[in-house]
Amino acid sequence: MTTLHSTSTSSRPIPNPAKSLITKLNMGTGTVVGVIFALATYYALKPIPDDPGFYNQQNKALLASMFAWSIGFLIGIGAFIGPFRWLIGKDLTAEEQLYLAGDGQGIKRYFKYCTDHKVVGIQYLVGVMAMLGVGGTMAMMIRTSLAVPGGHFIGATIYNSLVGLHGITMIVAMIIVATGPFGNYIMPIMIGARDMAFPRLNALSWWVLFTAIPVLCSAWFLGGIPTGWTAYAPLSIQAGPGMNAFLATIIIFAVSTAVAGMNITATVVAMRAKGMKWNRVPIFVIGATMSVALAIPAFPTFMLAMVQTATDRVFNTGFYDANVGGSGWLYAHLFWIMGHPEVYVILLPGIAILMEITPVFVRKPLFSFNAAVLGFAGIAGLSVLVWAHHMYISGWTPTLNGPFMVTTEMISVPTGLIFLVLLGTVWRGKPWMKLPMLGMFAVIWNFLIGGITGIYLSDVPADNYLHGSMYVTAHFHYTLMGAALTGAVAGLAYWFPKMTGRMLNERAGYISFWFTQVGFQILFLGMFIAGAEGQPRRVVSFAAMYKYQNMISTFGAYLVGIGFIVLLWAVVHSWRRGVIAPKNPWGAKTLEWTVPYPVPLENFDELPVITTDPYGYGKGN
Amino acid sequence: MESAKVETSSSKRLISALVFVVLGVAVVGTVGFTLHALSADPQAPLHATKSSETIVVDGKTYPKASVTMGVYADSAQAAEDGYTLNKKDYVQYGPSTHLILPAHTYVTMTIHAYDGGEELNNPYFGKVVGTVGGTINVDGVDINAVAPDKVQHTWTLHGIPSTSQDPLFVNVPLPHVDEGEDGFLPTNDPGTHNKGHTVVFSFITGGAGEYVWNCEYPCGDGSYAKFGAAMSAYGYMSGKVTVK
Repeated sequence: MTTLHSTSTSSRPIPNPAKSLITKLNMGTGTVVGVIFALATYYALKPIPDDPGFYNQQNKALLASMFAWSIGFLIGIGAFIGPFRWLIGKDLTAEEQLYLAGDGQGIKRYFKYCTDHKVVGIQYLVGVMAMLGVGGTMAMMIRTSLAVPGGHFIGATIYNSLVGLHGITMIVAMIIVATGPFGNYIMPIMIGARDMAFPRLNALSWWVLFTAIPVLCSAWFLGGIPTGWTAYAPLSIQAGPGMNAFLATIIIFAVSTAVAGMNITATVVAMRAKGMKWNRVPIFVIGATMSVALAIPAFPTFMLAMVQTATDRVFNTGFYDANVGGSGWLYAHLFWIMGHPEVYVILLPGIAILMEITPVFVRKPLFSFNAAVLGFAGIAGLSVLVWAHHMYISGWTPTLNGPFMVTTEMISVPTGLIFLVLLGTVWRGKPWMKLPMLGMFAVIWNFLIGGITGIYLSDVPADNYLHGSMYVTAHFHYTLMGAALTGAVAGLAYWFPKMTGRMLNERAGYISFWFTQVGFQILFLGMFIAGAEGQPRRVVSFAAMYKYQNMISTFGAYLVGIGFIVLLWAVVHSWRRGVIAPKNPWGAKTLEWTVPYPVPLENFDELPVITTDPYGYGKGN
Repeated sequence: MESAKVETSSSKRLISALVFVVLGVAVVGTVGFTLHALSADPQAPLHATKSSETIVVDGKTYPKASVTMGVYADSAQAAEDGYTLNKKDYVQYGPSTHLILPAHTYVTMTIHAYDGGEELNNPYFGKVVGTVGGTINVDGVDINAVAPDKVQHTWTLHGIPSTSQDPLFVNVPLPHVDEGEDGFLPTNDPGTHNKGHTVVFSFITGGAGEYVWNCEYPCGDGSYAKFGAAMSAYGYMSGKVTVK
């Protein structure tokens, strides 16, 4: 990607807002205010034992206190100082705005309401790694429990809660695993912008999400989430107090993703560098934007489903409670109208990262940029028309199974384009087999298995047998973990030098890669066999006939676990003591590699002007 | 000199990576064993008392054993029988919900049942299934079923999914205790504690195996359609049976 000349320069006053309130606010003040809000709300609404409406009131008190925590935290960290100033006809001073951007504050800015997109990117990265660590630990517990028949290791109650918590923790983490860290840190630089379109909203999206984490963790102390991550009615309506944590988490998370989605979309649409026409936009930006644009209609639907479940629990509104004329199917529809697009919200950025990486390491142009965009658009478009394949066996209108089977199977066509682009880019090339490129080959293999096994699940007759089995669990792990997470890890290896100024330890990266990928195959191929033979998912105890398959799967899970611990070591060690990275260690042509580390506050001293596409390898530019 | 420096640095790196991996495994392992400990049955198992007598059933001779349990409306009532382990004020079986029974044995079980009741969700569990003779003895009278709206709890024993152990299914409905005119169970008065029912029945165990039992009458709190609280907590209305 070629830059010609500057269009503007930035000039900055030295921030010195010593007397401003914003200098006093941070995570600590946010936590204090949040806890005070939560406790005050709970005690104001505290349920009375032996009251006939005890359960409704308990749900009301818990939900309200969870939202109060979130709002209190945001007030306490200073998220609303700007809007408050607007209400009284003022705004932040230039010095305060620079302070909010974290200028000159070192590591402290990561614990503040900081508007710099690079700080937000790092906050997302650390947050996602923590969530994956917690979710992964829960996965180890689940697999240990399933190592032998009988489910004696952690018992049925804890197992049920673990399955639900693992599911929702990993889904939330996976939704933000690529667009969070890389969409915030890298993407604005990639398109030649000084920051996101709405920097304060950018910080808000992270801190709103942050407030959901303690809410979700509180489920442990409130009796757990025994419904699985789907939270189907009427189970969710009847469930104990831990269910409130699930509902509040999703509602808070949906607000965060809506804010982030609109901000990323606005940034890409409005803030691209001069000359960066749509066919010159890096493919990662295209994929990430389509992903968040897909999330904008999907997540409010999910949020609505959760709000209605909450009102069923608090006010007995009966939206989903068949006892009072509601419909559990309505919930299932709303859930899956979000649930299946969400798979692609997770998948598209991961695949887009690989498309970004592959030309760099093969030193060839991306094989058909247009086909890649068409593939993404086709997947995004079709993904909103396939949700009811999750409901074939639910007893809903069977005559509509056929059309949904067709739309689901049609999604193989744009997916084929994605494979074509990746393989076409590698074809007859001589890949530079660094860690990011290994990830690309792993994803091709995993996504192929995930995709092909998905075709059987989309087929109504086959799904009659496979539905609700371990086969389904193995299938979606091949797509979400094998493809999307592997793609995100490849992205981490690729952009680590730009985000930290240091190279990721390569040897540890290789060890981690082989442990996770080999373990992954053992884990989920074993699960495919057990599922195809009929082992139901989400059930703590299984028949002795599945014992070898499960033992093999658990062995594979331990390998994956060790692989990720090694990766964590590589990240921590390299971040602290890794080899200093050159400005452009991979010789890539996108804009983020033209800026030094640490990246200046406004990214570019001179805004770039784009004259070529970003994948002009071998074209003499 | 330079290469020696690199070597030192490399070995330090290796040690730090190994320590990190060990610590990581230890953290995950600690979480696992903590959860394992939390899920452990806090009650000491209740062993059946073996007898020197034998009995012939369908031409086969079995050794005899017996075990006695109670089912109580709340922890205060259970305390009257000396069972004080369960802290929550739930309906509960006692003195333990983990029974250990001898294999290939004629087991006679006595349940003192002191609770009231409403109606079963599934009338099937009002029938007696799996006992010797297909009956239970309630206060001296043999019966083979209890009306679904007259059941206080059930003791329903069944297998867990496995192909390696003998099947065993026993369902015993326990008739409810009529409430007094004041709406309270007569058992609330210590003097009338013995107004509950005494239910006696026998069944024959197979080979060694792990089984579970539970109450099929939804007697929990308002959550999960009355399958919450006592019905979804360990040590109250469900348990396991180890045959060995």
